[in-house]
Amino acid sequence: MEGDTRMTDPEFCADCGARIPDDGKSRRYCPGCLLRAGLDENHSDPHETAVLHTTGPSPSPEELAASFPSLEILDHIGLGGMGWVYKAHQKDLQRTVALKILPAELTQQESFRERFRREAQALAKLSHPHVVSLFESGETEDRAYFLMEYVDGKNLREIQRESALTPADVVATLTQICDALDYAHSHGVVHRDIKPENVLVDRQGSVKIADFGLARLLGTPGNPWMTGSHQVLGTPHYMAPEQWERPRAVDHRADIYGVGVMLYELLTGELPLGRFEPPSKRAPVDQRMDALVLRCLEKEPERRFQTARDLKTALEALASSGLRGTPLPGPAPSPPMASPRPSRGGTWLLAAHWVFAMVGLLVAMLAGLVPVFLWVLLVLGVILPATGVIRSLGTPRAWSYFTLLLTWMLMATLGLALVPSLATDLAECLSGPETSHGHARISFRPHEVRETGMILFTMTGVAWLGALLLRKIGQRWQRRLSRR
Amino acid sequence: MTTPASGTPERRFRPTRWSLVARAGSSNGEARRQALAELCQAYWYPLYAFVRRRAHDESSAADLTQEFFARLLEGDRLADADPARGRFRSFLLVSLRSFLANQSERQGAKKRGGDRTTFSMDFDQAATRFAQEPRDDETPDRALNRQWALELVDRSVARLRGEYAGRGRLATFQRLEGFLSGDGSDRYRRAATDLGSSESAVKVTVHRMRVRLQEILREEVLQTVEHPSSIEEEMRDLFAALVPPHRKKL
Repeated sequence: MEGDTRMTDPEFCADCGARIPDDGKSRRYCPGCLLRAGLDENHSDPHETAVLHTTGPSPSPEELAASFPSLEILDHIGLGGMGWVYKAHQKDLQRTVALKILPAELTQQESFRERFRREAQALAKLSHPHVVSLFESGETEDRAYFLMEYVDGKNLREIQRESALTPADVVATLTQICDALDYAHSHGVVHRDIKPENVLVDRQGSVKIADFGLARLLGTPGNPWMTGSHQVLGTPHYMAPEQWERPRAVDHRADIYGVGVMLYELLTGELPLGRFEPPSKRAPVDQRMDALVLRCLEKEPERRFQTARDLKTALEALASSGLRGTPLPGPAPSPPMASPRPSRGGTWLLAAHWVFAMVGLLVAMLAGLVPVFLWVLLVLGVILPATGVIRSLGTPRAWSYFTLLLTWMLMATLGLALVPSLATDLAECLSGPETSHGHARISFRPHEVRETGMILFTMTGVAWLGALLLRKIGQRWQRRLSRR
Repeated sequence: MTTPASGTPERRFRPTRWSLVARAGSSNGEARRQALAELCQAYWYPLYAFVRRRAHDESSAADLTQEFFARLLEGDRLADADPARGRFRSFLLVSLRSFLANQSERQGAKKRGGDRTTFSMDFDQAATRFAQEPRDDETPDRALNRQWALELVDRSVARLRGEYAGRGRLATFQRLEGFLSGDGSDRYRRAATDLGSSESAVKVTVHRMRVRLQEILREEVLQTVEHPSSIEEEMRDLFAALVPPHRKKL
């Protein structure tokens, strides 16, 4: 094991051919290549917000001083989705603030100015203890800017790196996030870029959501630049599938997905990529957590928690029923990076799932086909003899036609509404891992198909019963009418 | 505020160590001293090697290094180097050169240093390491930059190791450390078998290790420059120092 990990030749780098410096430290890497990698890639980072890479160096605090006479600009502290952030002191109010500025070259472009304004607008709508507050926004002669609350603390990513978060910590933090998101959503603001870097935790442990650089204000006229069909906004790993596939259709449930990714990552230290396992299989996490996390990560927004409040309630319920304290009861952690291998019992369970899934699918498909036949019957049996209907208006026969028509329409609508979702499931089931945009994610899960099948089966049954009942009532009316 | 401690080199919520040192008046003396001591702790060996290369023997090189850092930490202006401009590395080099040039004048003066430096320097280990350095015609300046680059990379890899160890994944790190540089595609499968994992999972882990290492490298470089805009330049210089002149390609 040891020998294999060394460079092929201990003295020379297999990649660049340079001699590995030997000064008594046994290096298993080539320092030159590592430094060059940073220069070559110009610092590519999967966490980096995919929206824009501001080019050029950020202006130094001294350069900005002239534009902001009321501020003492202390330090450049970061780069957000939409601009540079500085720590500054507001002289007249004697408070520390965060100044966000849009680079001058981007300020000249209306589309960027508009986006920047939107972030300010999104923030301005929100006044919540867990959302950074906006103080003011405006434009200097060459730059758009806004002032906001300065959070003296760290972001969740830094905290995660520096200390092991217990599941109870994670739940406590995410509960606060859900609270803030629920508030933002109720004000028509979707964050769209929920990830650990955008969650700040101050020294008192209070959570603040920052960087609404991608936020979307629901109900405002869409700007073609902002939601253009080729425009994908967000940070790849935290983006809900619909953010890739249907950027225009994104609603607040995309944030629920982001929270799910964060939950999974904070609990297990890994991102839910590919055929990922439930959290409790990857880390000592309460098994009850699995369902909650997986529900956030559902591909279809309809199957996720529908509001941040629901998610918050679920988290709180878990926390209050004894999640506190660590380590949590749960299966022992699997060895690092062990591939998923179901146990013997697991295999049987999986097989049973599949059988059920297939039976369910078959039944559902048959049920789904019935309405199609009914439409055909409708055309042949009702529309064509319509003249007969018209002629028989006011006669008992019309009631018979009427109930029949109602039944058919009900059935057909039901079936047609359900068939597409069934078809999607089937397609996914057959095509296997979906790898759109290099974003491998399996959305097919046997239990889902089985459930869909069951629901369809039940609904079809109910519809048939309803139809029979309607027909019975119709016949009774018919008799009553004919008696008159 | 925004984001990415990980995404960008900029440290969130705090100035770089060097900007703390360089910007006199922006912070109290103790914080400055502390920041300077931390920086010196990280990069003292290249300076020691520089002194050794200037034809000093082991013990006087150790004394001179000690003395140099003691003066620096006490706030002596050792040269006209202006800390408010430029990078920590060039500041140290200018200061050290000036210190060595004036050293003969002060020869009779009272020895300083000793316990007044707030960081530890293991000169025995340094001497062993220096003895293993290749004897070549490298100039002391160039050697300093090269060793500086090595310190930076070693330090960053050590930090990454620490992060994995902290998460109980030291074994994974050790097995995959060799993949940090170079293309190990043909060896991924064996590593996967060793770790009881899949090849793709190994690739993902290696990718994450590489990305994180780049972040750490940049964070470390950032600590020695005043402004994030200088990171690129400093890395370029250090890379140039690592590559022998005839092999430079960038």
